[in-house]
Amino acid sequence: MYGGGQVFEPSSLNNDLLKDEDPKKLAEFEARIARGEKIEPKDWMPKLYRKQLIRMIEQHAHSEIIGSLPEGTWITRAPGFKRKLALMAKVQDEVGHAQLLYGAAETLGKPREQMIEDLITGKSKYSNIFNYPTFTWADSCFISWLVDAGAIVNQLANARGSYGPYCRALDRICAEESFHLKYGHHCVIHLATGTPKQREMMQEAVNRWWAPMMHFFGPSDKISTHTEILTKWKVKMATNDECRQQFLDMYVPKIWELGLTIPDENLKKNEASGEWEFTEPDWEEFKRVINGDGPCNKERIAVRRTAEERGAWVRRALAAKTKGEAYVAPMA
Amino acid sequence: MTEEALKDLLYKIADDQLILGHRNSEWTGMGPLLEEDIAFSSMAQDKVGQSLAFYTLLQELGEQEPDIVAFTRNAEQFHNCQLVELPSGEYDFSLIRHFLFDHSELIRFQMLAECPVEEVAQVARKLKGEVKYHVMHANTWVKQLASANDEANTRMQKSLDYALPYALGIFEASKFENDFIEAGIYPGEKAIETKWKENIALVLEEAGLKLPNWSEIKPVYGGRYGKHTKHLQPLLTEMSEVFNVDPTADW
Amino acid sequence: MSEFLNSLDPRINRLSIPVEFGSTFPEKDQKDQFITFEVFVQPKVSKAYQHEGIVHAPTDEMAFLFAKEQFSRRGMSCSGIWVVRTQEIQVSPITEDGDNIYAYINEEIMEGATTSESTKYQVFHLMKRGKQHVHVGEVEASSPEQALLHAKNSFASEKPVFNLWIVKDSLFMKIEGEDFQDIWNTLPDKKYRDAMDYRATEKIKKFKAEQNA
Repeated sequence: MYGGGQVFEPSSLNNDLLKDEDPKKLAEFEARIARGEKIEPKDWMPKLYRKQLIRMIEQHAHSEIIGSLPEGTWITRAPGFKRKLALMAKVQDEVGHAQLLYGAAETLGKPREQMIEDLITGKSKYSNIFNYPTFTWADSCFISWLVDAGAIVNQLANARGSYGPYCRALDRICAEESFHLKYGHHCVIHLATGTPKQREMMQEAVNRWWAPMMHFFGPSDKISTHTEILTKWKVKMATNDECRQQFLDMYVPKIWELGLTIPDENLKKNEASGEWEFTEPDWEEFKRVINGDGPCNKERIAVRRTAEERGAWVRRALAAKTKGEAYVAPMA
Repeated sequence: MTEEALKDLLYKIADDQLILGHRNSEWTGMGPLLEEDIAFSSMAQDKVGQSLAFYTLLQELGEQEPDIVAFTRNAEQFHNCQLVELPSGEYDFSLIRHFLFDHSELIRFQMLAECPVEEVAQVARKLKGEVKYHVMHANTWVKQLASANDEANTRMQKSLDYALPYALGIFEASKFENDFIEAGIYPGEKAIETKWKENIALVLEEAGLKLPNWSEIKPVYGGRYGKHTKHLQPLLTEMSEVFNVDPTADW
Repeated sequence: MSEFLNSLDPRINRLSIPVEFGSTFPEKDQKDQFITFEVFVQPKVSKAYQHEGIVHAPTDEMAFLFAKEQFSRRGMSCSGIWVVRTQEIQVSPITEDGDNIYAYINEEIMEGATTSESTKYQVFHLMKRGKQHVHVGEVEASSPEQALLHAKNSFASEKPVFNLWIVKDSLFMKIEGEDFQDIWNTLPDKKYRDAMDYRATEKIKKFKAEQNA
């Protein structure tokens, strides 16, 4: 699982970086991408491409590791063996995905430890949806089903992107995600079709999480930062709105068929255009939360920092035997 | 040997695995190193899965279904040793506990793989492969850390000293010890304990950790008879929090 | 106000994490960066080993353990794992436009090659950008250059190979064969990891029927 809503700050798309690039090399690079060929780590690439990719893959990796926390909240309380085992496996997968993704980002030259440090100091971001709390078991089920579903929409798009190592990591990740989605849906079905208490728990979770879910794919295209170059370079494979529409089309009917209501009375599919209509999400709220003012931002980073600090003696001890070996980036 | 005796054996095995697996799952997402986080999590899942296999054997002997047995009993009804219910602490304690427990479990499974009760032998045979790797993991880590530097060695030694009395509680005699030995189920707790002491001594010496004189350690017993530390009931209450919202519901 | 974080997660409350750390996270000059190892996985006994990713580990022994855990979590698609230090992999250049890397491997490359005892090398091909390197076989040679030549003789065909990796066989750590059979034993039993284990169409049907009644 990961999160969508890449926040491309205008300053980060500094086209000044492009001005100094060799135009012939740049043209060849862009032609390769246009042909549908993947870029591999040893290829020449513009600095801006390298920078944007590192940022994107790193953000995805951070989202996995931070994303393990809201669901992880319920590992020790999962009801019954089946759920207990499945949730343990799912959260473990997320840590595993982070490991794969950090590896992919490392091929571009940034060491994993530097990325982890940047997460903790706040230099690097992660998907905003994980800044919200999972109050009940049903909240964790919502995440397991629908946030994962959203992540899969993004991942399937990105798997067709231009950077080889990222595509390879995504292939492996997508294969594991099918269990996650099925598990999440299974949990929600059981709650929604269960006892009145279970149904109530699930409905309340949907009511809480719908707004963050609508934020998940990022600001609407019409107010988003211009990212044409990232589309040309196949770094960004689908627009925020396209992803959101795909998600709504696939999952709103599935939510409704369980007798659950969605807290947006304007939500409906326009049969003529095929597009889903909905109340415009509060993008000011989105900005506030992603910039640090959400219910769980502090906690997520504090937990990450604590894990690193508590583990420091372990890494010190392990490093005691390998001092001096130079860092080697992954090959592929 | 009676059915009651067999159930006693299976319950203590299953309870140990469930509680330890549960404790170890607390580290998921918060481990000292990404790859190790993944490894430790796998082993926690294995433990919980193993407990399910044993609770299933118990169900075949007439006990209630695994979810009910695991999620609705109270502390005094559990037969795990006190070692596994202790808080996870820092990584040195969790690793030492993993090392001490899994060494005993491997011996136990190797013995039970030969047991005349075919259903039990089958489960033991299947699962001992998993425990073999858990022991390998534990040995590697204990040796690696304890021999690395003073800081790590001190931590590991402290955790070892703290854990040993509780670890001896794994081998607390059952009231059916003689029945097991006579029926050839397995050679009994004392036999596991003896082999266990030999095996861990080899690794600990290589690791640079000191084992005290066994006669100096007072074992902490009681777990097998439902006497537990203050930590078990809160653990169980937490574990069954959602389940008990409605134990009859289908989650 | 409590000095500790009050979380919805009981695990986190047990860690007594301070609300305020009182200091910024120290950025280290020397990062705890461990050795990088490449990992190759054999999905089934009849299939070829294929590159899947990396592990970072301080020692070979740990790399071996980590690779097993990270790359065989999905038991239904793993029967063997090979692990080797990244820096031991010898890499050819990447070719362009359907050029075959073997076209550039000739007797000339033997110039200046240091020979030693004959030993086995494993050969991996990359057939297309974006795919993984796949194992094609092994050769005996007394230098990497000679290994390349022998690889050409044994494995070159009309299909262009984009990129080659060769690695001395003795440098691999391998998890395969009889000795490790029990490592894969219980993996297929872990149905809770299998999407197939999560079917609920009957439940939905029943629910809809009740709703309509």
